[in-house]
Amino acid sequence: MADLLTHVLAAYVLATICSWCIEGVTPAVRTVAMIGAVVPDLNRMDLVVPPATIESVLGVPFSWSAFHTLGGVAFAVVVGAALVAPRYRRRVAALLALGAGAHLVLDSFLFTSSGYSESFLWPLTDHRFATDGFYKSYDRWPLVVAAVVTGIVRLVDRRRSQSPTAPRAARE
Amino acid sequence: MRWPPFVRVAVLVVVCSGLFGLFVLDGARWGPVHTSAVEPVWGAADPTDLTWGPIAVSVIEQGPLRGDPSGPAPSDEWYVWSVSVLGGCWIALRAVLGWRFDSRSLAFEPRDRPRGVLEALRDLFKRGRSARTRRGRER
Repeated sequence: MADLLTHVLAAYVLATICSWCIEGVTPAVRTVAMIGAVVPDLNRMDLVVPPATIESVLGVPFSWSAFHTLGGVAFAVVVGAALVAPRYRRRVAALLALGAGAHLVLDSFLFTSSGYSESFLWPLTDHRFATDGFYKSYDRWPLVVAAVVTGIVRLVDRRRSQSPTAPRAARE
Repeated sequence: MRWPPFVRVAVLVVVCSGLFGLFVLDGARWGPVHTSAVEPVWGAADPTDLTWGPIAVSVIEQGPLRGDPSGPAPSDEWYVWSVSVLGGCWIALRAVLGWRFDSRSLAFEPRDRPRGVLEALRDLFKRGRSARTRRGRER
């Protein structure tokens, strides 16, 4: 995985661009996309609660890495949507999916030692795509690019929200 | 669609159970990864001997592992963790300032007007002081 901040910035950029076209994507709702970008990285829960501990307690196989797949993200999106007020449910579900989807797409371009991406589409399919990989998880340049793009998008967004024709939600 | 509270709780229980089932299924998929002592082997002569944790099956198809076998330096790991923590703090701050929990509907809602950091700290301070005053009166 690339570092979390890069994923969060990518989700922020996408959600901000969405807010230009779709009414109701307020700054608070944009935060949801950023939260969505964290969901696949919840597989790092294995550092807090090792799967081996859960396996020994419950007696069943266990792996947190399901969070880094389409199936895990889909379940997390439904949980997120059920936790908010009814009128925000669709927006929250869409933006959680946007942030998490962007995370998985970005991670599919990672350099891996095997030359294959992770099986992101599990449990639909176990297929792992052959990839040369554009960056390693600890490269600095993806964050620099993400920060520059975020700066530009934020600037454009500020100009749009200050214009008198901007919708009220964008100016909030 | 407005769900009664018990329906929401039932939906959450069902979805969380499904998520747990996915973790179990995933654990079964990885098989012995958490219990096996097999470590990645770099530059082995026979590709069939190569394993890389959970993706051992595909290694046979693709040949030797590639890239730098030494992996990330400690400074690289420090970098990844520090910027990731920064990202996490940013989201947490935005979530706290932009969202609130409505105790009547038992659901999260965006605030009508996002709070500033100073405003949030002031509220926190006020709440703490009023709680202390209340406790003092009770005594």
